[in-house]
Amino acid sequence: MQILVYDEAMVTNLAKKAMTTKGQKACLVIDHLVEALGNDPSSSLRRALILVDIDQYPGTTQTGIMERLHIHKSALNREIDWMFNYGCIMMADAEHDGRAKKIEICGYSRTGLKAALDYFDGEHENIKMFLQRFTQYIKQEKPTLRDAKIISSLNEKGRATKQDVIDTLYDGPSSTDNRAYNKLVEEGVIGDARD
Amino acid sequence: MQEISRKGFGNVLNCITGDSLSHTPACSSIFSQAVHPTAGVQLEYDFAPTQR
Repeated sequence: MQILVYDEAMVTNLAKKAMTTKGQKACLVIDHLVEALGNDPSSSLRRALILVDIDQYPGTTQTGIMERLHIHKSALNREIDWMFNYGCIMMADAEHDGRAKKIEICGYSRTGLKAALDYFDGEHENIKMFLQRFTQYIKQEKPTLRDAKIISSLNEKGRATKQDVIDTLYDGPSSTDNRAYNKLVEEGVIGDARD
Repeated sequence: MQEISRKGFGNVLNCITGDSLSHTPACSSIFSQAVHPTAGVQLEYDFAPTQR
């Protein structure tokens, strides 16, 4: 019964929505963005921002992204190359200019981003603001989705040991997770719990 | 034990607005697929359609 399948999914999602705090939602948003970016938590928040922009403006060119997000051409080139190589986006020749490429989100990236957008009423501008404010909050040169997950997890837990937080992160080298956590401690984002 | 020590994370969290799934595009699409006859969803019946 197909209709029952849809109903079950809807009820599950409704229950998930009703029972989650904003801190938990932030964790889920980051998880979906990691999915959308090749399951790579080392992806920067800026890369996620570019992916959101591409989804918001299907068929956009690099020039369009540069103008909207104020990102330097060489930095944007690197991010676009990465996303193309990981199958996040596809490119086609622009009709009006043979040198320009039209860019569109595709495949699993579209699915992952759509799931993340669900927490922002489907509004691209809201998730962009989330990513920009997160970037400003972390105050690092190039904060990653891993950094964002560490902060979101610790916020949700209130107080936790370093290992408890690292256990919520993604499969990958523990040395990388530890380094990211330690950097956030050094920079004063995370500190010892006060009594 | 550790905690977030830098203030201002609430401003980040406040960007999250998706509290009501019934008003999100994701849910709308579920409804449209479930009830719209042209959405390409094959409905399964437990009985054969009545012939005139």
